[in-house]
Amino acid sequence: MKSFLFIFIFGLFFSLHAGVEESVTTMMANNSQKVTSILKDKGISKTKQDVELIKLVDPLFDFKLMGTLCLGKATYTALNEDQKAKFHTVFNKKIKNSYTGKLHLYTDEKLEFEKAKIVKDKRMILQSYLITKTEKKSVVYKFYEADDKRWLIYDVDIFGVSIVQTYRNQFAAALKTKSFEQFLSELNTDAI
Amino acid sequence: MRLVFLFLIVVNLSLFAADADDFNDEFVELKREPFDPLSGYNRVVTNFNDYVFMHILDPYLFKGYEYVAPEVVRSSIKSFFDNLKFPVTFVNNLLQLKFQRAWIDVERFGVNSTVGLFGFFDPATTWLGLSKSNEDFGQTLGYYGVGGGFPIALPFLGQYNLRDLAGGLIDTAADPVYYQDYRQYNLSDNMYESWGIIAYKNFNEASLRANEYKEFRKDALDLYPFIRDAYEQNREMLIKE
Repeated sequence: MKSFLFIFIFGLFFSLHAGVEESVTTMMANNSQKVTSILKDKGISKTKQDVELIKLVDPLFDFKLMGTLCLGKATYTALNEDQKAKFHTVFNKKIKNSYTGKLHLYTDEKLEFEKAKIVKDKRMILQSYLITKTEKKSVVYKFYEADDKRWLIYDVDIFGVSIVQTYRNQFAAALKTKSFEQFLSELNTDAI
Repeated sequence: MRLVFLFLIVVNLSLFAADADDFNDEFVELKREPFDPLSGYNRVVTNFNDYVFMHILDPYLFKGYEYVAPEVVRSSIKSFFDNLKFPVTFVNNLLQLKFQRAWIDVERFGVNSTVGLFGFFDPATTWLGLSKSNEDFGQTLGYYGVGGGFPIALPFLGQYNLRDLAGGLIDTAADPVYYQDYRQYNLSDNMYESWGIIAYKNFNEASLRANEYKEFRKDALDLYPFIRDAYEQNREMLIKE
Protein backbone atom coordinates (compact mmCIF):
# COMPACT_ATOMS: atom_id res chain seq x y z
CA MET A 1 0.00 0.00 0.00
CA LYS A 2 2.78 2.36 1.01
CA SER A 3 4.74 1.75 -2.17
CA PHE A 4 1.60 2.16 -4.27
CA LEU A 5 0.87 5.52 -2.65
CA PHE A 6 4.48 6.56 -3.11
CA ILE A 7 4.39 5.74 -6.83
CA PHE A 8 1.03 7.50 -7.19
CA ILE A 9 2.22 10.73 -5.54
CA PHE A 10 5.56 10.64 -7.35
CA GLY A 11 3.80 10.03 -10.65
CA LEU A 12 1.37 12.86 -9.97
CA PHE A 13 4.24 15.21 -9.12
CA PHE A 14 6.07 14.55 -12.40
CA SER A 15 2.95 14.37 -14.56
CA LEU A 16 1.88 17.82 -13.34
CA HIS A 17 5.16 19.34 -14.49
CA ALA A 18 5.32 17.24 -17.64
CA GLY A 19 1.90 18.72 -18.47
CA VAL A 20 3.28 22.26 -18.35
CA GLU A 21 6.13 21.33 -20.68
CA GLU A 22 3.72 19.64 -23.04
CA SER A 23 1.32 22.58 -23.14
CA VAL A 24 4.10 25.13 -23.79
CA THR A 25 5.43 22.97 -26.63
CA THR A 26 1.96 22.57 -28.16
CA MET A 27 1.21 26.27 -27.76
CA MET A 28 4.44 27.20 -29.58
CA ALA A 29 3.87 24.66 -32.34
CA ASN A 30 0.33 25.98 -32.90
CA ASN A 31 1.60 29.52 -32.81
CA SER A 32 4.27 28.69 -35.36
CA GLN A 33 1.61 27.33 -37.73
CA LYS A 34 -0.43 30.51 -37.35
CA VAL A 35 2.70 32.61 -38.04
CA THR A 36 3.39 30.60 -41.20
CA SER A 37 -0.18 31.00 -42.47
CA ILE A 38 0.01 34.79 -41.95
CA LEU A 39 3.37 34.95 -43.75
CA LYS A 40 2.05 32.91 -46.66
CA ASP A 41 -1.12 35.00 -47.00
CA LYS A 42 -0.39 37.02 -50.13
CA GLY A 43 -3.78 38.72 -49.87
CA ILE A 44 -2.65 41.11 -47.11
CA SER A 45 0.05 43.75 -47.15
CA LYS A 46 3.34 43.37 -45.25
CA THR A 47 2.25 46.09 -42.82
CA LYS A 48 -0.98 44.22 -42.07
CA GLN A 49 0.98 40.97 -41.77
CA ASP A 50 3.25 42.65 -39.20
CA VAL A 51 0.24 43.83 -37.18
CA GLU A 52 -1.15 40.29 -37.18
CA LEU A 53 2.24 38.79 -36.29
CA ILE A 54 2.68 41.17 -33.37
CA LYS A 55 -0.82 40.29 -32.12
CA LEU A 56 0.26 36.65 -32.12
CA VAL A 57 3.68 36.98 -30.51
CA ASP A 58 2.87 39.78 -28.06
CA PRO A 59 1.20 37.57 -25.44
CA LEU A 60 4.10 35.08 -25.59
CA PHE A 61 6.91 37.50 -24.74
CA ASP A 62 7.70 39.62 -21.72
CA PHE A 63 9.21 42.52 -23.65
CA LYS A 64 9.43 44.68 -20.54
CA LEU A 65 11.61 42.12 -18.76
CA MET A 66 13.70 41.67 -21.91
CA GLY A 67 14.32 45.40 -22.04
CA THR A 68 15.30 45.50 -18.38
CA LEU A 69 17.70 42.60 -18.86
CA CYS A 70 19.22 44.16 -21.98
CA LEU A 71 19.97 47.34 -20.06
CA GLY A 72 21.38 45.47 -17.05
CA LYS A 73 20.24 45.79 -13.47
CA ALA A 74 22.62 48.58 -12.40
CA THR A 75 21.86 50.83 -15.37
CA TYR A 76 18.13 50.21 -15.21
CA THR A 77 17.75 50.95 -11.53
CA ALA A 78 19.70 54.21 -11.94
CA LEU A 79 17.09 55.54 -14.40
CA ASN A 80 14.17 57.68 -13.28
CA GLU A 81 10.59 56.60 -14.03
CA ASP A 82 10.28 58.85 -17.07
CA GLN A 83 13.50 57.46 -18.60
CA LYS A 84 12.37 53.90 -17.90
CA ALA A 85 9.02 54.50 -19.60
CA LYS A 86 10.70 56.08 -22.66
CA PHE A 87 13.21 53.27 -22.85
CA HIS A 88 10.50 50.59 -22.80
CA THR A 89 8.52 52.36 -25.53
CA VAL A 90 11.56 52.58 -27.81
CA PHE A 91 12.84 49.09 -26.98
CA ASN A 92 9.43 47.44 -27.53
CA LYS A 93 9.17 49.00 -30.97
CA LYS A 94 12.73 47.96 -31.83
CA ILE A 95 12.44 44.36 -30.64
CA LYS A 96 9.05 43.78 -32.25
CA ASN A 97 10.27 45.15 -35.59
CA SER A 98 13.39 43.03 -35.30
CA TYR A 99 11.44 39.86 -34.49
CA THR A 100 8.82 40.24 -37.22
CA GLY A 101 11.61 41.11 -39.68
CA LYS A 102 13.24 37.77 -38.92
CA LEU A 103 9.95 35.91 -39.26
CA HIS A 104 9.62 37.30 -42.80
CA LEU A 105 12.97 35.70 -43.69
CA TYR A 106 11.69 32.20 -43.14
CA THR A 107 8.32 32.07 -44.91
CA ASP A 108 8.93 28.69 -46.56
CA GLU A 109 11.00 27.10 -43.80
CA LYS A 110 9.69 24.71 -41.19
CA LEU A 111 10.25 25.11 -37.45
CA GLU A 112 10.52 21.77 -35.61
CA PHE A 113 10.07 21.71 -31.84
CA GLU A 114 11.53 19.30 -29.32
CA LYS A 115 9.64 18.93 -26.06
CA ALA A 116 10.19 21.86 -23.69
CA LYS A 117 12.30 21.17 -20.60
CA ILE A 118 12.18 22.72 -17.15
CA VAL A 119 15.81 23.57 -16.47
CA LYS A 120 15.47 25.12 -13.03
CA ASP A 121 13.02 26.85 -10.78
CA LYS A 122 10.52 28.74 -12.96
CA ARG A 123 12.67 28.40 -16.06
CA MET A 124 11.96 26.37 -19.14
CA ILE A 125 13.75 26.08 -22.46
CA LEU A 126 12.25 25.02 -25.73
CA GLN A 127 14.72 23.78 -28.32
CA SER A 128 13.55 24.16 -31.89
CA TYR A 129 15.20 23.81 -35.28
CA LEU A 130 14.68 25.93 -38.32
CA ILE A 131 14.84 23.59 -41.29
CA THR A 132 16.04 25.40 -44.40
CA LYS A 133 16.79 23.79 -47.78
CA THR A 134 20.41 23.16 -46.80
CA GLU A 135 20.70 23.72 -43.05
CA LYS A 136 19.21 22.82 -39.70
CA LYS A 137 19.60 25.84 -37.45
CA SER A 138 19.07 25.97 -33.70
CA VAL A 139 16.53 28.37 -32.18
CA VAL A 140 16.08 28.16 -28.39
CA TYR A 141 13.20 29.90 -26.62
CA LYS A 142 13.75 30.67 -22.93
CA PHE A 143 10.64 30.89 -20.76
CA TYR A 144 10.03 31.92 -17.16
CA GLU A 145 6.93 31.46 -15.07
CA ALA A 146 5.38 34.83 -14.32
CA ASP A 147 3.50 35.64 -11.13
CA ASP A 148 0.20 35.03 -12.91
CA LYS A 149 1.43 31.47 -13.72
CA ARG A 150 1.81 32.17 -17.43
CA TRP A 151 5.02 30.98 -19.10
CA LEU A 152 6.54 33.91 -20.98
CA ILE A 153 9.58 34.17 -23.25
CA TYR A 154 12.38 36.37 -21.90
CA ASP A 155 15.12 35.52 -24.43
CA VAL A 156 15.65 33.69 -27.71
CA ASP A 157 18.96 32.16 -28.85
CA ILE A 158 18.94 32.38 -32.64
CA PHE A 159 21.73 30.15 -34.01
CA GLY A 160 23.36 30.34 -30.59
CA VAL A 161 23.18 34.13 -30.44
CA SER A 162 21.16 35.37 -27.49
CA ILE A 163 19.01 38.42 -28.27
CA VAL A 164 19.30 39.69 -24.69
CA GLN A 165 23.05 39.10 -24.38
CA THR A 166 23.77 40.77 -27.72
CA TYR A 167 21.69 43.86 -26.93
CA ARG A 168 23.12 43.93 -23.43
CA ASN A 169 26.68 44.09 -24.75
CA GLN A 170 25.74 46.75 -27.27
CA PHE A 171 23.83 48.88 -24.77
CA ALA A 172 26.64 48.69 -22.21
CA ALA A 173 29.20 49.73 -24.83
CA ALA A 174 27.00 52.58 -26.12
CA LEU A 175 26.29 53.93 -22.63
CA LYS A 176 30.02 54.14 -21.88
CA THR A 177 30.43 56.94 -24.38
CA LYS A 178 26.94 58.39 -24.77
CA SER A 179 24.36 60.00 -22.56
CA PHE A 180 21.16 58.04 -21.97
CA GLU A 181 19.21 60.46 -24.19
CA GLN A 182 21.71 60.10 -27.06
CA PHE A 183 21.60 56.32 -26.70
CA LEU A 184 17.80 56.30 -26.72
CA SER A 185 17.65 58.47 -29.81
CA GLU A 186 20.05 56.08 -31.63
CA LEU A 187 18.00 53.10 -30.56
CA ASN A 188 14.93 54.81 -31.93
CA THR A 189 16.42 55.02 -35.40
CA ASP A 190 18.12 52.39 -37.53
CA ALA A 191 21.59 53.19 -36.26
CA ILE A 192 23.56 51.91 -39.27
CA MET B 1 5.33 7.32 5.21
CA ARG B 2 5.46 10.79 6.75
CA LEU B 3 9.02 11.01 5.56
CA VAL B 4 7.91 10.40 1.99
CA PHE B 5 5.36 13.21 2.18
CA LEU B 6 7.87 15.51 3.79
CA PHE B 7 10.39 14.72 1.07
CA LEU B 8 7.87 15.45 -1.70
CA ILE B 9 6.75 18.69 -0.10
CA VAL B 10 10.36 19.86 0.28
CA VAL B 11 11.19 18.94 -3.34
CA ASN B 12 8.06 20.67 -4.52
CA LEU B 13 8.74 23.84 -2.59
CA SER B 14 12.40 24.02 -3.57
CA LEU B 15 11.62 23.52 -7.26
CA PHE B 16 8.84 26.04 -7.44
CA ALA B 17 9.82 28.62 -4.89
CA ALA B 18 9.57 32.12 -6.26
CA ASP B 19 12.92 33.62 -7.17
CA ALA B 20 12.37 36.88 -8.88
CA ASP B 21 15.78 38.41 -9.27
CA ASP B 22 18.19 35.88 -10.72
CA PHE B 23 17.75 36.68 -14.42
CA ASN B 24 20.78 38.90 -14.43
CA ASP B 25 22.96 35.93 -13.41
CA GLU B 26 22.10 34.25 -16.70
CA PHE B 27 23.77 36.96 -18.73
CA VAL B 28 27.34 38.17 -18.80
CA GLU B 29 28.07 41.69 -17.63
CA LEU B 30 30.23 43.64 -20.08
CA LYS B 31 32.50 45.29 -17.53
CA ARG B 32 35.40 45.82 -19.92
CA GLU B 33 36.00 45.38 -23.61
CA PRO B 34 37.05 41.88 -24.73
CA PHE B 35 40.73 41.36 -25.68
CA ASP B 36 40.82 42.71 -29.21
CA PRO B 37 44.28 44.02 -30.14
CA LEU B 38 43.33 44.32 -33.83
CA SER B 39 40.09 46.18 -33.14
CA GLY B 40 41.04 49.20 -35.28
CA TYR B 41 41.93 47.01 -38.28
CA ASN B 42 38.95 44.71 -37.68
CA ARG B 43 36.55 47.64 -37.63
CA VAL B 44 37.90 48.95 -40.97
CA VAL B 45 37.71 45.49 -42.58
CA THR B 46 34.17 44.86 -41.26
CA ASN B 47 32.98 48.21 -42.61
CA PHE B 48 34.71 47.44 -45.93
CA ASN B 49 33.02 44.02 -46.14
CA ASP B 50 29.68 45.55 -45.25
CA TYR B 51 30.11 48.26 -47.89
CA VAL B 52 31.01 45.69 -50.56
CA PHE B 53 28.01 43.59 -49.53
CA MET B 54 25.45 46.38 -49.37
CA HIS B 55 26.60 48.41 -52.39
CA ILE B 56 28.10 45.90 -54.83
CA LEU B 57 27.24 42.29 -54.03
CA ASP B 58 23.63 42.62 -52.96
CA PRO B 59 22.24 45.16 -55.43
CA TYR B 60 24.19 44.02 -58.50
CA LEU B 61 26.09 40.73 -58.39
CA PHE B 62 23.63 38.70 -56.28
CA LYS B 63 20.64 40.08 -58.18
CA GLY B 64 22.20 39.05 -61.50
CA TYR B 65 23.24 35.67 -60.15
CA GLU B 66 19.79 35.00 -58.66
CA TYR B 67 18.31 35.75 -62.09
CA VAL B 68 20.36 33.02 -63.80
CA ALA B 69 20.44 30.61 -60.85
CA PRO B 70 17.19 30.42 -58.84
CA GLU B 71 17.32 29.46 -55.17
CA VAL B 72 16.78 25.76 -55.83
CA VAL B 73 19.87 25.69 -58.09
CA ARG B 74 22.00 27.64 -55.63
CA SER B 75 20.90 25.34 -52.79
CA SER B 76 21.90 22.32 -54.86
CA ILE B 77 25.31 23.85 -55.56
CA LYS B 78 25.73 24.46 -51.84
CA SER B 79 24.75 20.83 -51.14
CA PHE B 80 27.40 19.69 -53.64
CA PHE B 81 30.14 21.60 -51.81
CA ASP B 82 28.78 20.54 -48.40
CA ASN B 83 29.02 16.91 -49.50
CA LEU B 84 32.63 17.39 -50.59
CA LYS B 85 33.44 18.63 -47.11
CA PHE B 86 32.92 15.09 -45.83
CA PRO B 87 36.63 14.40 -45.02
CA VAL B 88 36.71 17.55 -42.84
CA THR B 89 33.56 16.82 -40.82
CA PHE B 90 34.41 13.10 -40.57
CA VAL B 91 37.94 13.67 -39.22
CA ASN B 92 36.79 16.36 -36.80
CA ASN B 93 33.95 14.21 -35.49
CA LEU B 94 36.50 11.45 -34.86
CA LEU B 95 38.89 13.88 -33.18
CA GLN B 96 36.04 14.99 -30.90
CA LEU B 97 35.22 11.33 -30.16
CA LYS B 98 31.77 11.69 -31.75
CA PHE B 99 31.89 8.26 -33.34
CA GLN B 100 28.18 7.98 -34.04
CA ARG B 101 28.21 11.33 -35.83
CA ALA B 102 31.30 10.24 -37.79
CA TRP B 103 29.47 7.10 -38.94
CA ILE B 104 26.46 9.22 -39.98
CA ASP B 105 28.91 11.33 -42.03
CA VAL B 106 30.04 8.16 -43.84
CA GLU B 107 26.43 7.15 -44.52
CA ARG B 108 25.52 10.62 -45.70
CA PHE B 109 28.51 10.78 -48.05
CA GLY B 110 27.68 7.36 -49.48
CA VAL B 111 24.00 8.13 -50.05
CA ASN B 112 24.38 11.71 -51.28
CA SER B 113 27.30 10.94 -53.63
CA THR B 114 25.31 8.19 -55.35
CA VAL B 115 21.54 8.56 -54.99
CA GLY B 116 21.99 12.28 -54.43
CA LEU B 117 23.81 12.64 -57.78
CA PHE B 118 27.32 13.68 -56.64
CA GLY B 119 25.87 15.55 -53.69
CA PHE B 120 23.70 18.00 -55.64
CA PHE B 121 20.76 16.60 -53.70
CA ASP B 122 20.54 15.61 -50.05
CA PRO B 123 18.37 12.47 -49.79
CA ALA B 124 20.30 11.49 -46.64
CA THR B 125 18.48 14.30 -44.80
CA THR B 126 15.15 14.32 -46.61
CA TRP B 127 14.61 10.56 -46.91
CA LEU B 128 16.70 9.02 -44.15
CA GLY B 129 16.72 11.80 -41.54
CA LEU B 130 20.54 11.75 -41.34
CA SER B 131 21.27 15.39 -40.61
CA LYS B 132 24.45 17.14 -41.61
CA SER B 133 27.37 17.67 -39.20
CA ASN B 134 28.90 21.06 -38.92
CA GLU B 135 32.37 20.34 -37.56
CA ASP B 136 35.74 21.92 -38.24
CA PHE B 137 39.16 21.99 -36.62
CA GLY B 138 38.41 25.29 -34.87
CA GLN B 139 35.57 23.50 -33.05
CA THR B 140 37.85 20.52 -32.32
CA LEU B 141 40.36 22.88 -30.69
CA GLY B 142 37.49 24.48 -28.75
CA TYR B 143 36.27 21.03 -27.70
CA TYR B 144 39.68 20.42 -26.07
CA GLY B 145 39.51 23.73 -24.24
CA VAL B 146 41.48 26.02 -26.58
CA GLY B 147 40.13 29.55 -26.25
CA GLY B 148 39.22 31.72 -29.22
CA GLY B 149 42.21 34.07 -28.91
CA PHE B 150 41.62 37.48 -30.37
CA PRO B 151 39.13 38.36 -33.15
CA ILE B 152 40.33 38.76 -36.75
CA ALA B 153 38.18 40.10 -39.59
CA LEU B 154 39.30 39.15 -43.11
CA PRO B 155 38.46 41.09 -46.26
CA PHE B 156 35.67 39.36 -48.21
CA LEU B 157 35.71 36.35 -45.84
CA GLY B 158 34.33 37.97 -42.70
CA GLN B 159 34.76 37.40 -38.99
CA TYR B 160 37.08 34.81 -37.39
CA ASN B 161 39.11 34.45 -34.25
CA LEU B 162 42.70 33.22 -34.02
CA ARG B 163 41.69 29.65 -33.09
CA ASP B 164 39.14 29.30 -35.88
CA LEU B 165 41.43 30.88 -38.48
CA ALA B 166 44.23 28.42 -37.57
CA GLY B 167 41.66 25.61 -37.52
CA GLY B 168 40.37 26.62 -40.95
CA LEU B 169 43.89 26.53 -42.40
CA ILE B 170 44.43 23.04 -41.00
CA ASP B 171 41.08 21.89 -42.42
CA THR B 172 42.31 22.77 -45.93
CA ALA B 173 44.57 19.71 -45.68
CA ALA B 174 41.49 17.46 -45.84
CA ASP B 175 39.08 19.60 -47.90
CA PRO B 176 39.15 18.54 -51.59
CA VAL B 177 38.06 22.02 -52.67
CA TYR B 178 41.46 23.34 -51.56
CA TYR B 179 44.15 22.08 -53.95
CA GLN B 180 47.00 20.23 -52.21
CA ASP B 181 49.93 18.87 -54.24
CA TYR B 182 50.58 15.90 -51.99
CA ARG B 183 46.99 14.63 -52.04
CA GLN B 184 45.33 12.14 -54.39
CA TYR B 185 41.91 13.74 -54.28
CA ASN B 186 41.51 17.35 -55.47
CA LEU B 187 38.56 19.05 -57.11
CA SER B 188 40.85 21.14 -59.32
CA ASP B 189 44.16 20.60 -61.15
CA ASN B 190 46.10 23.44 -59.60
CA MET B 191 46.06 26.11 -56.93
CA TYR B 192 44.75 28.89 -59.19
CA GLU B 193 41.71 26.89 -60.27
CA SER B 194 41.20 26.01 -56.65
CA TRP B 195 41.02 29.69 -55.61
CA GLY B 196 38.47 30.33 -58.36
CA ILE B 197 36.29 27.48 -57.13
CA ILE B 198 36.58 28.65 -53.51
CA ALA B 199 35.59 32.19 -54.49
CA TYR B 200 32.56 30.84 -56.39
CA LYS B 201 31.61 28.53 -53.49
CA ASN B 202 31.69 31.46 -51.03
CA PHE B 203 29.83 33.72 -53.45
CA ASN B 204 27.09 31.12 -53.92
CA GLU B 205 26.69 30.62 -50.15
CA ALA B 206 26.67 34.35 -49.49
CA SER B 207 23.92 34.82 -52.08
CA LEU B 208 21.77 32.34 -50.14
CA ARG B 209 22.32 34.27 -46.91
CA ALA B 210 21.99 37.78 -48.31
CA ASN B 211 18.57 38.52 -46.82
CA GLU B 212 19.59 37.03 -43.48
CA TYR B 213 22.63 39.34 -43.30
CA LYS B 214 20.60 42.41 -44.26
CA GLU B 215 18.01 41.65 -41.58
CA PHE B 216 20.44 40.80 -38.79
CA ARG B 217 22.66 43.86 -39.37
CA LYS B 218 19.63 46.04 -38.52
CA ASP B 219 20.05 44.92 -34.89
CA ALA B 220 23.48 46.52 -34.70
CA LEU B 221 24.05 49.83 -32.96
CA ASP B 222 27.73 49.53 -33.89
CA LEU B 223 28.41 46.96 -36.62
CA TYR B 224 31.85 45.58 -35.79
CA PRO B 225 31.34 44.72 -32.08
CA PHE B 226 27.89 43.35 -32.97
CA ILE B 227 29.31 40.95 -35.59
CA ARG B 228 32.25 40.01 -33.35
CA ASP B 229 29.92 39.24 -30.47
CA ALA B 230 27.40 37.28 -32.55
CA TYR B 231 30.26 35.29 -34.14
CA GLU B 232 31.70 34.31 -30.76
CA GLN B 233 28.29 33.27 -29.38
CA ASN B 234 27.53 31.20 -32.48
CA ARG B 235 30.90 29.43 -32.36
CA GLU B 236 30.47 28.73 -28.66
CA MET B 237 27.16 26.99 -29.40
CA LEU B 238 28.72 24.94 -32.21
CA ILE B 239 31.55 23.83 -29.92
CA LYS B 240 29.07 22.77 -27.22
CA GLU B 241 26.91 20.82 -29.68
